[in-house]
Amino acid sequence: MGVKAILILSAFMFSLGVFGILTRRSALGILIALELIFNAANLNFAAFGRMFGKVEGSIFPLFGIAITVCEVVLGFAIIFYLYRVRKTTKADEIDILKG
Amino acid sequence: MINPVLYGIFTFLLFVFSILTIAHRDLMKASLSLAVVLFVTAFFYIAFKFEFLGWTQILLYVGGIVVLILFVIMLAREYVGKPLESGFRRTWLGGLVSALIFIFLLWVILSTEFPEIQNFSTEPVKDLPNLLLATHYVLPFEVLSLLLLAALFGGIVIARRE
Repeated sequence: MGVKAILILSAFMFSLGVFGILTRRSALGILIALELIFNAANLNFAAFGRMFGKVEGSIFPLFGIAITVCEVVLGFAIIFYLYRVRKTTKADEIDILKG
Repeated sequence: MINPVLYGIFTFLLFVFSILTIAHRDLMKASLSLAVVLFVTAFFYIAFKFEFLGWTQILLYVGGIVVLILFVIMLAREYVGKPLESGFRRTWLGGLVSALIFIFLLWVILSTEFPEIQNFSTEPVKDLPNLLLATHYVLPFEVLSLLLLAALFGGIVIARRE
């Protein structure tokens, strides 16, 4: 199995994640779709690192995983705050910043 | 690179559970499908001989992030008072955009000639700490710990009760 098969797989995962971000109503659903996109990007990094026989291919996914952790923590803190203040789950009803 | 039978099984699991992650209305089941997707990706990493990355993926993603998502869903359910469900809006438009992106990526991947897979000159697991801590990757590595600290403070400040 070559690298192409892995790349096609992660392209499929990436476009599914884009679909989820564009169509989900709930902010939590959007964050879950975002995880899928990050995962596809990390899989691509690892596949290219394997293709060139370089260990560096596993360093970028490590950084990517750590940054994803930060993003998820802050995203869920904001969503949790919104649940407390607005009691809603829908991303298109949250318009506090609208003047 | 990978045994074809194993590759087939992994690919099938990844396809099915990524679709479930996006398409399931119940967010609890969607995040459990996400856990399966991340787990299977870790198997891919281990098959690439990136064992450290694979186990980090299982520890941090499956053990950390998915558990966090499940906690938030259960707490939010407490606030909202019913199981969390998420509908879809403008499905055809989102489907069109993501299908176009997929077709474009597929065209790029299929029309590119990739070089042959090369073998590792050293053992990746032995080489990784050396690379992270003794070469130019040490600066991003340390900046990352600052970022994690900042995210910790930010999360506490935003989510605490007044």
